[in-house]
Parts: sequence; C-alpha cells; structure tokens
Amino acid sequence: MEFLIRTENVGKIYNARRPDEFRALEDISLRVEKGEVAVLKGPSGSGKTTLLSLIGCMARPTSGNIFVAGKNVSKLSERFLTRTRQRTFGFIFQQFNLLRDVSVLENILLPLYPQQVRISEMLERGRNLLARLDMENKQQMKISKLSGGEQQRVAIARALINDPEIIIADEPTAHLDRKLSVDLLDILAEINRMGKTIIIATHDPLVFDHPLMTRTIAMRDGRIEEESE
Amino acid sequence: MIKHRIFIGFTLLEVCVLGLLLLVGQAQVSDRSAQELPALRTLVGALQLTDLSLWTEARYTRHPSQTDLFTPFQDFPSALEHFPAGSILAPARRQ
Amino acid sequence: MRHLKILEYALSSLWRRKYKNIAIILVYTFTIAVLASILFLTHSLKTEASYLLDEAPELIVQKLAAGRHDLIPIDYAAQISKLPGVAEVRPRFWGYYYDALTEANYTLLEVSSGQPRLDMLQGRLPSAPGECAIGAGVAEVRRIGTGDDLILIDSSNIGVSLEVTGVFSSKSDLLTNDLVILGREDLIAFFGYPADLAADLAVRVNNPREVNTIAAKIKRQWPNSRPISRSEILRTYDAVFNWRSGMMLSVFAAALVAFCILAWDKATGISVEEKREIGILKAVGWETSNILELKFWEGTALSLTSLLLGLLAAYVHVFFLGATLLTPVIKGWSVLFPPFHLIPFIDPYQVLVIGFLTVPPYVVSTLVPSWKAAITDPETAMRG
Repeated sequence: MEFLIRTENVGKIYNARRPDEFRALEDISLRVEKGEVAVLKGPSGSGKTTLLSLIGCMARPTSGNIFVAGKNVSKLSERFLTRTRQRTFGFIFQQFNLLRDVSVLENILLPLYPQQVRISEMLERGRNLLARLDMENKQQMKISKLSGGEQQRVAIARALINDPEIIIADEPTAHLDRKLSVDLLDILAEINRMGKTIIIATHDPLVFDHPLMTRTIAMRDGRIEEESE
Repeated sequence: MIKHRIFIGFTLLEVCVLGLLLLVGQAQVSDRSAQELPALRTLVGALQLTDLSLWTEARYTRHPSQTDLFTPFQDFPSALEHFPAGSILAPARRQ
Repeated sequence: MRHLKILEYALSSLWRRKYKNIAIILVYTFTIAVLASILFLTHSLKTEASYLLDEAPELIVQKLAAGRHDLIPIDYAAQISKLPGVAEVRPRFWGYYYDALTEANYTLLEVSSGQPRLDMLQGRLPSAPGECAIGAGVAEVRRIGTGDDLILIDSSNIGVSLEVTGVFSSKSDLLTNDLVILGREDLIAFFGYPADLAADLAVRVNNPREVNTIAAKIKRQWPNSRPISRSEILRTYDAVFNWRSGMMLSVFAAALVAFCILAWDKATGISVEEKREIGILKAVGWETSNILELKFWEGTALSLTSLLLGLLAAYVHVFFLGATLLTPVIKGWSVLFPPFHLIPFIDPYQVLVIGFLTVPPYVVSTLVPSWKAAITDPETAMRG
C-alpha cells in the first residue's frame, strides 16, 4: 500500500562539525496512511517539532529520505520545497502565529498572496471558510480583539485555505484551557471527516489519549521509542 | 482589496499632472521666449547692461561680472564676508 | 497578478502604521521639494541669464589702480578704436547711489539719445536734462510713477529733482529693478565725474571670434586695464546659479543630510514586530523573493509618492509662486529684490538625478534590514 507519508532512516543534525553540534533526530522511520490522525508524543526536546518541520517540507533532513504522496522531498530545492509545502500542507502553530493588527480575513488569506490565485477567488475561499467555522460576521475584526477560541478557529481556517491534503499541528493545545482544547479536537475531528490527514505533535495527554488518534508515535531524545495504531 | 488600485490610480494621476505641468511649461517657454525675451534682449543691448539686477546690497553683489577679486575684501584684506548674498555668489572665474 | 497582490499587502502593511508613514512621506516630500526648488530656480535663472546677457557688450575695458576698479581716461577710447578688428568704442558712465530715505541702493546709468522705442518701458527714456526713467523697484519703494519727481542728493550734497518720464515694466525686473536712467550730462554732473574720465569703455568688434585676441592686445598695450568679455559675463552667471556653490549648496546639503538621516534610521534595523511578521509570512508559505518583493513595494510606494509630490510642490512653488519660500534665503540684505516671474526652463537630466538620488536609496534602505529576516528558514520561523 502506498502510504501518504513515509520516512526512511531520517536524521537531522544542527551545526554539523561545530562545537555546538546537536543531533535532533536519528534514524526515524515511520509511515502515515491517508486519512489517519497521527500523534507524535514525547517530552520537550524529543525532536517532535523537528520531525514535523521535516515532514512539512520546512527544512531538509541531514540523512535519510522523506516521501510525501510518493514523491521524495528530501532533495528538493527551496523553490520546489515551498511549492510542495504550499499545495500539500496546512500548519497550525503552537502560538497560532497570527498577525495581531490585521483583520481575520486578511490573516486567513495570507498563504494565498504569493500564489497565482485571483483576488476574487481568494476572497470567496476565505469567506466560505469563515462561514463554515461560524466566523463570518467577524471577518473585518482585528485579531487582537478576538477571544482565544476565536483565534484558534482563525488559525485553523488559515491552515485550510489552500485545501491541503495534510494538516500539521505543533502543540496546538499548549496555550489553551481544557474547554478550548476539547473544542479544538472536535474541529480536528471534523477536518479529518473531510478526508484530511492530520499529524499532531504534543505532550498533552488530553490529545494523545483522545480516541481520534489512529496512530501514536512515542519519541524520546530524537528517536522513536514506540509506535502503535 | 482595492488599495493597489487606489495607489496605482493616484500615482498615475500625479504623473499625469506633472507631465501636464511640464507640457504647459514647455508651451510657456515657447510663448514667453517669443514674446518677452526679444524685448528684454533689446533692452540689454540698448542700455548696455552687463548684470542682472538681483542683489543690490553691495557693488560686487550687484555687478558680479564686473567685479575684481579684491572688491569683496574692500574694507580690509582679511575682512570676512558680511553681505549674505556674497555667500551665494561664487567668486569671479578667471579665464 | 501575484505582484499586484503583494503590492496590495504592502499597502495594507503601510496603512497599518499610517501615522508614522504619513509623517515619513511629509518629511521626505518636503526634503525633495526643497532640493527640486533649488534646482529649478537656479536652472531657470541660469538659462534666462544666458539668453539675456547674450546682448551684453562684447568687451568692457576697465582701468585698475592698486588692484581696484578706477575711472578710465576717455582718450583710451580713441586709441583702442584704432586697433584692427575694433568696430566702435563707447565710454560708459554709471555708478551706485545709496538712498538714505529707503536704505536702498540704486544703479544710475546714462543712456545716449536716439534709442529705439523699448517695449519694456512704459513711457519714454529721458531726452532732456532733468528727466529720468526708473525701474519698477525704485518706483515702488519711492511710491512714484510717470510724471512724478524723483529727488536724489548729488555728490555736492545738493538735492536734484528729476522728472520721471518712464517706468520699466515689471516683466523686466530681473534687469531693471534698481535702475535710474539719466541723460549723460545729468549723470556726469550728478556724480561729479572729472571731464576726461568715464566709468569704463564698451567695445564692439567686427568679428566676435576675435574678442579674446583684441582683449589680449588691449591688456598688453595698457597693462593697467582689465578687459572683460561677454563670455566671462556669461560664465560668471553660470557660476552664480550653479547649485554647487555658496548658499545654494548649504541649503541643498541641509536637505540632503535630512534625507540621509531618514534613510539611516530605516537602514539600521527593523522592529521586533516586523521581524515577527516576516517570520509568520515565511511559515505560511511566502518565499524569500516574495518577502523581498513586499519590502520593495513598501519602499517604492513611499519614496515614489514623495518624489512625485515633491516635484509637483517644487514646480508650483518656483514657477507659480515665484519661489517665495526661497526668496528670504537668497535675498540677503537687498532692499530692492525683484519678484520672480520665472520662465519654466527645466533640465530633464536634473529631474532624473533627483529621482535616482531619492527613490533607489530609500528602497535599498528598506530592503537591507529585512534581508536577514527574509532569508530565515521557515523552520526557525515556525518555532517562533
């Protein structure tokens, strides 16, 4: 079976051959199927964020190969890496990374500016997403005026604007209270029902123990400790 | 999302107004060159003028083309320039 | 399409910090307007001077004594006229008059009879003793017109009354503002010129190309003389209105320094907020080239707008308002200073130079500090 994401002996070294050389990842081999919700769990410093950034085509591995939808992305140039990232992945960041003085709609449309998409189509996509997330009447509001839960939904909408196949979420509940965390997981479940594959990095038990998770990968010190489905 | 249209429109407007002013200026140059300049040149020839009537503070500012190099120091060889227009004028050129 | 969208984002970004950016545009526009005003003013005056003074006497011969301008014996004229190539030599009588009443300086000039009608004179030139024609500046400061009397104190401290027969049109202010034209006899009597002396001699030559040769001959034959050719007169005004000299340069330099401070302030770093914004853009899929394009549009939008507004303001200031803001700087202590009705001679090269000096440096000073943040890899940006 062709897995959507496959890594073979992936390693990542920062500051190679320097006094502050650091091995973030070593010999990572994993697979994620289409439609799965995979969770990378482990303590802080275990390499979860690094692995996410490699899978998400934000950086290249030092060793090994990464295949996304059958294509080897480990050797791509920055331009093609960016294109693959834009088309295939949507990101939900730990601190949402929203622009505070910018409106909701503009934040959601950020990924589309440098792409060849007409302005009218951009606006249509943005408004449709906001409607689905029940935020249509807040489209002109500045982020700084929104509640935590509303900001969360804006971050998710931005991740979905390109209609990507894979959603990557890095510690999505790190700054949320329990109720908002549960809300987030409900939204992720709905996104999964839309057919999207989701990969989450977290050390929050609320997340990795949730029934939504179809594959759990435990990491420690840059290695995979355990994998279960 | 119309800011870019407003900006481009406004910039084009500025360019057009500037272009228009320059064109009108050109027309004025032709007009006034044809009407005023000949009469003024006749005046210069008739009165045998050598300088423009700009700075009337001192002799060397009123007739800079007729001034020798010493006139600005008329009071004393190392006297400092005290006429403001003297600092606008470059010293007389030698051939 | 992508470029227009990035431009749109750049404009939104500028608008988000609207007060700061409006202030930058205002300061920048003012700086450019000052620079351009000086360039327009000096170029226009220089061009007009070169047209007008092309009719100045071909050669003026002065006499020097102890290095200073002295009155010249009139019989030099007869001797100079014998030189080959000399067509005519005319002694000139003129001088300066300080009017204690108005604290203004006038230039008194004599004119021979039989002059053609002058379009720039309302009235006529003096044709009999006791008459004068005056410039518009003199008329204004003394509050007199044609038919009135101008009273001046001559060299013997006696009041002389002259009837004004004509006033020069204000269109000729640049040439005639402070002039008082008298008949030759009146002027000689007024200044107490010795019988055989004149102020200088005006020489007309047969072949204009021989002017310098004739000037050299005159200098050789009369070592205490100082010949001044028309080309020297024109070169003087070339230098006077050169923006690279004197006070013009000071004003110009001040404006340039103001601009450099502005550019330096921009170039020495971007704020934490801007760095964060660039990081987020990279994290959501913007490439380095997109970020640099964004900064390019930000810099261009501000500097191009300032350039165009500055040029417009300078044009209106110099050619519609007569450079009123620069006049106090240029005028000095002159009581009589002609109002400017400048002909809009513009040197397109100067306009281009202003453009090159103002837009690219500002764009570069916007791009450079953003460079480091723009080339950060998205992984680092993702970590926040």
